[in-house]
Amino acid sequence: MAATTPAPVPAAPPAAPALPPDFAGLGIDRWLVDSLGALAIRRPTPIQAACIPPILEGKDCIGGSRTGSGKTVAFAAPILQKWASDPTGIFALVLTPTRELALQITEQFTALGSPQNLKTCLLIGGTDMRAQALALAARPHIVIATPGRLADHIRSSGADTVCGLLRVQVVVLDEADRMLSDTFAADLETCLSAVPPGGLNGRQTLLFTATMTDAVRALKTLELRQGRRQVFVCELGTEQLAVPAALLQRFLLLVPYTREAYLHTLLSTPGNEAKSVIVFTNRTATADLLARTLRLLGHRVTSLHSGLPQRERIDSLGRFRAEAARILVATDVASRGLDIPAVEVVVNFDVPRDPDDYIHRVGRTARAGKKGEAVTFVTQHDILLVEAIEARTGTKMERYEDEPGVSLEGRVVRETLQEVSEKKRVAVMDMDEGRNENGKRRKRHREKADRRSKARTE
Amino acid sequence: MSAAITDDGDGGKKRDWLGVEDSEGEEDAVSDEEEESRVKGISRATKRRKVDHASDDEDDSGGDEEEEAVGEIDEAPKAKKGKGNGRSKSKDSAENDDELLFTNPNKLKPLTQDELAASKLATSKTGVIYLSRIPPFMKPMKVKQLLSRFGEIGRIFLSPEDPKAYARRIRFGGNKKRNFDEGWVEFRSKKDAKLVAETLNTTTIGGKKGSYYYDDVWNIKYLPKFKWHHLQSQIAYENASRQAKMRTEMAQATRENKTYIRNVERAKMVKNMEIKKRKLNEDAGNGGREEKVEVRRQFRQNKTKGVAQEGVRAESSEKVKRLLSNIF
Repeated sequence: MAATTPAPVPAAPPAAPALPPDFAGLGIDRWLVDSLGALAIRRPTPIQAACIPPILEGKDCIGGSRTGSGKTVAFAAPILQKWASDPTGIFALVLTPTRELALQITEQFTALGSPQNLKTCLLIGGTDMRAQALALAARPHIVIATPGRLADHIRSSGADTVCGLLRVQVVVLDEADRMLSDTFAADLETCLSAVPPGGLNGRQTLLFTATMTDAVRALKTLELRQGRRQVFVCELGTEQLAVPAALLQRFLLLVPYTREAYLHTLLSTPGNEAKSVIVFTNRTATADLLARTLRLLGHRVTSLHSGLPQRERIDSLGRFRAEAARILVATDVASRGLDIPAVEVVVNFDVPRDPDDYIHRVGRTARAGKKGEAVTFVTQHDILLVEAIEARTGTKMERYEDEPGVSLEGRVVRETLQEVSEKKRVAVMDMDEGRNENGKRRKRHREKADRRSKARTE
Repeated sequence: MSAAITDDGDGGKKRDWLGVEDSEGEEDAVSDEEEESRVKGISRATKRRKVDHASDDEDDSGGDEEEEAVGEIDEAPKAKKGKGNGRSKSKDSAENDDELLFTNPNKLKPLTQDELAASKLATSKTGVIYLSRIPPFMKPMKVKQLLSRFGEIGRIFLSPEDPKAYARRIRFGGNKKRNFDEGWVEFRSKKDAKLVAETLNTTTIGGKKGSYYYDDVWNIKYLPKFKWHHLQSQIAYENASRQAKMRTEMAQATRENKTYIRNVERAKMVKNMEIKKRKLNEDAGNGGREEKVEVRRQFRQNKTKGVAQEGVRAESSEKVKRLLSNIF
């Protein structure tokens, strides 16, 4: 397998580029091809085929592609290859909007870079800051961070710790549309101030997303400054179809009062009994209540939302990944980027207010060409939202049809409604009494200490 | 989960008096009546055993360990339990656990006037001390052994450590023994309790030089005007109020469900009527005419957010624009 010079890829979005059979054809080194192969990644996807050569050439890049189409490898592979040719201090900085996504990307980098002794460093909130500062000061090769925590380090950990960032050569913004929104703007500015400026002698910047927004599109049209790198834009099919083709999108029209009962019934039909499911809600309180209710109803359920301590967030995601829990109840914090191949069904317990969120949520299933199913619970108040989603995705949702031999409505009315509403009330009472999810009451003195510290800060 | 050592009857009741962490225990109201507590003691004991054998797979590790711990600690009081009337201290050791299971609680004799008076007197004489810290891995039996030198001891309760803390210690290779956080000890005589608190507080435990606890320090406080039942009354109250609340909640849920089901039925009926009507119309020959859909009610609609929302672009731009100019 002789690595030939990479075929020049057109800068415009290629209509139907002939995919090279393997990564070596894209100019990837042998060791990296092997470690990709060890992860069963052998054939490049369109976004990888399009983006890897220009990134290797040193162009800035904006990559847009459907959920589950291999964007992470599209930036990880060229970064690792460039780093391996000159393994220096902090070579690359990857910024992501959520902590769990940062963790996942770290794992992927570590897996790919292990033959070359890659050192990574994960900077996320909710964990010990001092240990992170030490790790950062030790000049890891690649830093993966969430913007808030990195900005915190830049502000407070001292110049010795963060001066390594001055030598960063590549900056990646994963989920760029989210990163370039108002929420992260201030922190992101701080982060970018600590790395070299863009340009031919500065850093290389890579943006990746599944949903293009105007903020990201605006970058394309930005005029070329003097000494700026060429920007390579690759947008594959995010315009015409934002959701995977193998995804079955259905909706269930119901009254808000019966949503829990319908969910319970839906999750326990013979067809769904064994499937791995993510249930998305709009709020942490809903997610918490729902997880408790389902647990009381005997489902193997775990939850992921910002109301949990970081330790539990990572643990519960791990349990879901390992299929120790069948159902994950999550807010939008789990909607982006997380790659869990076993997920077969996504349930939108609430209709997301932002159509882009819908795309990311349902993108947790039907990944890498697999089949998937999404069920959205629509109440009488959500008609506009559904219309917006259908307009955004360019597809029509179908009405949910009962499995043969199972009448969802009949089951709800006859059997589950009473049981579920009782368990829900128990769950509400547990929450009011400050019990944790296993029904154990939290230590009183801890609560007292919380109250005291709160009083002190006020 | 709780560990209580009792040497005067009704062990089942005390086992859960704090109920800090046991959801199962919480649901059974702790009552002061002897008979009731005994029945519950029995049922709970059997329940525990079941739980021990068929430990739940779905529960995470912490929960499982906890269940085991309960069984383990409970052995002591069960074995020791005197089955007679606790307050009158008449110990009837002939009965054992198995016989107890078949005892009809209704056949228990009520206290006589004299016995009642005696038990009240005995209660009034007791004193309770509080141990703010239990030396590492010291078990209730050891505490009892150490303190019984200073006076006759009634009941002991040590609250076990957080199961999560325990699991964490095990995970990082720590000691597998059970730790206790704090505890209460009842002395039969107030005088003894006061004396113990006064003399032992902040002194070393002592004993033989090689003993594990030789250099450890007691932290003891006498609780003035405090009886053992004070520890339980709060829990009993909370349980009772919780149950009352639960009942009203359930009634409410049932009512709402009934209304919903009635509405579903009515909707079905109306639908069928409409279908019939349409059929009749068609049969009559005027089927071609489209019937007008009557809008009876309109619902407030949730608004979209993000990109789909109009007017966001203009206001969000300031910060983001500055950022965008820095990107490349």
